Amino acid sequence: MTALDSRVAVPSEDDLARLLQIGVVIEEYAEEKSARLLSDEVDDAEVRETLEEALDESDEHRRRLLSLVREMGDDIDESHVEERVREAIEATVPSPVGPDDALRHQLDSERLAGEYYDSLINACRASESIDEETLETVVETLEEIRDDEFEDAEKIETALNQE
Amino acid sequence: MTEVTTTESTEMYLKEIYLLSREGEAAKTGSIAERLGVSPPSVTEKLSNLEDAGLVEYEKYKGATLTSEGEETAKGILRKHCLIERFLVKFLDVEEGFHEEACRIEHVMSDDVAEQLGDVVEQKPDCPSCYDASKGHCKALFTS
Repeated sequence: MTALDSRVAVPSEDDLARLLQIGVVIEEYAEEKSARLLSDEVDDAEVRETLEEALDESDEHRRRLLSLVREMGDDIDESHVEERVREAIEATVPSPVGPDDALRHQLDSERLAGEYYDSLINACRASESIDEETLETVVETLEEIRDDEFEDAEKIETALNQE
Repeated sequence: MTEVTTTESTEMYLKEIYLLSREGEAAKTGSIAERLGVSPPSVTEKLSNLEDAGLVEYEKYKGATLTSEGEETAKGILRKHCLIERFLVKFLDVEEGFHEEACRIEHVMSDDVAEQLGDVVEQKPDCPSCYDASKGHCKALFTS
């Protein structure tokens, strides 16, 4: 079963704003997860550098998505999201058992985000109820963010396969 | 057997048939029509398509039940629905209208993404067995 056939479209601009808010939470989750992986016993310099870059990139992506949400006349309670995400990370993300495990966790984050934006881009393109200018801006931003996520996933996969 | 693509409409039908028939009774055409806000003749036509696709077993005057493939698909859709409701309530502090929002946006999310986000919202392994159709959300939505 696929939920992404060509007939699945974002129903309205309000729904698009909500789907972008979910993207903000996914980036906040990825950022907090990278921070948790960094604070644990991962002493490999290259792996730490990868995690630090990923953390900065998630922060940038979150800001870009938040900016889109605000341009659409909506907003998000950032401190609430931060607090709930931190609780979720503490409850669901175990400490990595080594550098490779930390990289695999990071790979999961990059893939999740990339696949989410891919779904959203397809559903945006299929939508006929969103203002053309808004749609163009949103899709352009999402494509850039999605490409970043998939490029990073590829780099991590290469690093894992070399070891 | 006719191959049909699982569309948004198909997903809604499977989800409602699952909720109406999960206690063992067949889902009546009238009940499906009422829950989806469509006419009984259009339900009959759709059930025939779903039967051709191997997702539903339909008997006139008795109603519809899901095949094992239909049930698996319906459970996946409902899990996704629950996931989005939990996401909206937990992270985005949505207090009203989360059921309707989840119904609208659940089709946009791919199965792979939903599977991965399940960990983020601590979705229970037996979801959607605790889904309360009368309330329009999982029984544990506000308690876990």
